[in-house]
Amino acid sequence: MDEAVSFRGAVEVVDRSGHVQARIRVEQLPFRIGRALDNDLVLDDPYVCAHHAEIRGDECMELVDCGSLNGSFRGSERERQPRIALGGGSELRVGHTLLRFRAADESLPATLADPMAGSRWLGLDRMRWAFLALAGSAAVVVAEQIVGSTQVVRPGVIINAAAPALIVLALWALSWSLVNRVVAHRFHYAGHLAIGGFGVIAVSLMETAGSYLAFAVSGDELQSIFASLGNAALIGVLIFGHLRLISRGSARRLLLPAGLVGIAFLALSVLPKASDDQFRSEPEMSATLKPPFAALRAGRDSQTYYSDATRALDAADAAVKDAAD
Amino acid sequence: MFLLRVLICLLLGVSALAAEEWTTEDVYTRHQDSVLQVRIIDAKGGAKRSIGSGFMVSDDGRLVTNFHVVADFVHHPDDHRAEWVGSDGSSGPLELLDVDVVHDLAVMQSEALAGRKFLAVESNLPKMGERLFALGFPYDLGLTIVEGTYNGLLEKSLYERIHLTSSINPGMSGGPAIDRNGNVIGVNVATAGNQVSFLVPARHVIELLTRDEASTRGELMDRIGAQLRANQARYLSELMQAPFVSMSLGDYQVPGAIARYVNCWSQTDQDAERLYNHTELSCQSEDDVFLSGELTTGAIRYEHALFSSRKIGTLRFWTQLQRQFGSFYGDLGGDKASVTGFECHRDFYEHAGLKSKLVLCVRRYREFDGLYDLVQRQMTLDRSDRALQSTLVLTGVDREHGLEFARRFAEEVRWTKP
Repeated sequence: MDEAVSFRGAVEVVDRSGHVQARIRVEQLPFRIGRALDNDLVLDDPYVCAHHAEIRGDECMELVDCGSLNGSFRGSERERQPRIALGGGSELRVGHTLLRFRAADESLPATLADPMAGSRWLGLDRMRWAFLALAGSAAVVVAEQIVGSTQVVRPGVIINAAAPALIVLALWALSWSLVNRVVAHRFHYAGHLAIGGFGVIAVSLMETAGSYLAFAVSGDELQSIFASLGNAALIGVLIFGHLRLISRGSARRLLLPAGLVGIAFLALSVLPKASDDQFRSEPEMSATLKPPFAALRAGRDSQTYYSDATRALDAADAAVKDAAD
Repeated sequence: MFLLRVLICLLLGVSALAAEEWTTEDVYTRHQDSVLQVRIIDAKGGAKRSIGSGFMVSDDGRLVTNFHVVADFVHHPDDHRAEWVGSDGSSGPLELLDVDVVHDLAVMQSEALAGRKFLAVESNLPKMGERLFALGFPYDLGLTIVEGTYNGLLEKSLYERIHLTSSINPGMSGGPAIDRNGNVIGVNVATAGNQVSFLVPARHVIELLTRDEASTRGELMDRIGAQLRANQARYLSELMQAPFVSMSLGDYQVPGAIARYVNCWSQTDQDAERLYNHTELSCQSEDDVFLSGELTTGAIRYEHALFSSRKIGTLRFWTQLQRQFGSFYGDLGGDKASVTGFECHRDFYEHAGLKSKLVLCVRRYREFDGLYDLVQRQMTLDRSDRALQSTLVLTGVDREHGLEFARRFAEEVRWTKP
């Protein structure tokens, strides 16, 4: 048995994506690898022998297969090797386990600057923000329920209205957290919950603001445009927020996917809907109506209104003409 | 020439049948050959699409029935054919000559019916309470005769109708109602059930028979369009000439029963749980014009709804009003082939110091030039705790009369207590 020496390097157990699962320092040789507990690196892999291989050497280090059943391999090669010379970054395969050898003198890459250090997005990952967003969205849903009801609102009705919305919000945050966990090994549930909750509040506020604005200028057709643009922008911001919480990369890289999702949402909402083609034998008033104080624009006098209204008749005439053509 | 022939026929009929008093049995025996069943047959399926009755009006094979009996044949002549069936089982094809869509009449002809016994048509109305006999083929059961009482012309009807106390049933439409002298007084057209039935006065039959028939289908459709336009111009002009009868609804003055044929009803919401008060006044003409199974026209209806907040805040109250404003109940019928979709104009409107949100929606008839259905809805914006919603529905109106009437209607919604 060789005499113990100082630090000679390290063996990393890596997954198929190259992520390090475990890292063991090689401080004495031979460095034994196998399934038995007396090894230096114990692998819980049924295809690895009890004493599968050893790292030996002096100036030049190598992996020596100890006559294992399934053999030792270099990287992804398929030919079993009795001995494999080791250098910095050498990749090895024993059983179903991937190993990577790190030499003692291997140079380290430069330390990355963390753009997320002190990020406001991470600031969201605090319970108080999550609770605030959750309470805010519950309040918005309940307020909408109360405003929309013609009768005295009882607690049961409020619970019935708020509970489904909160459950959906919780599941939404959970989904993002799970994605976060899988991709980045972090579980920012509170952060995702906060982003989702503020999203619900923003949707409601924007919808209300849009309908008031449309009513104020009597631009009923504007309301759907406001709603489409606002929702698309909001979806983009939400996606950006969730991705930012997941990713450690630069914010600029996330703008593209978030923007694309927003644009896709906008396209879907402005595309002619399948139902538009359906014949309706009743008119759709589709007019916003708010309290009188919000009616900022002056009313048209009779002459002007009915002169403008001929446009609707012209449009109906055009529909007949189009069909005839 | 045709006019002369018809008049001769009518005179002959009248002279031959006058001054003779019949029992129901006599009427049946003497006229069973003059009353025929009219069938519209689906050309592809070969079976009946609709059935009605008709009666001979001349010796050259002319027969009068209701427009609504033959409407499918008028609109889709390639998909249907018309035929007559006698009470003896004889039958033959029918050709459409002309229609009076406003009074629900059609005149048809078959060469095989030439020389058949025909009925005299009487333009004068009988005395109140006189016995009449309605003939026809109810429910495809064979020729049937029912006795009834003449109760005069309907007072509350946009279209002239005789009120007959008798049981006219489906399938008898287009059949004649004759007096004791055997003269046609009216044409069976509708029933309200419970012995309340309606006839088209026979003078409209004479008017239809004494004018030139349409030569092509295009001409027939143009003629129907012209009848509809003339009809709406007539009643809307009449309405516009007189001041509108106003009714009070809260602090507002609104158009009430603006004509004798407009019937108004009102109702107040009694739901104690509801957080706002709601009183509704709805008015409508009692009749309309049948165009097809999917579409009727030539009617006017409107409703006013007064909302006042009981104990809810402004935002809640107006959220409810927005909901009310957006829901329009009252299917106007029609399909893609007969009318366009609705096109709407929405804006604030102000008249005599009263501001409101006003939406005017129209759709156009595809088969009849220059005719529209018009729906107008307005909600007053003068107070935050009270509002009046007025809805007007006009069917089958032209641009000029439709817009003029809608404008007058909107102007007639007034606020009485500033």
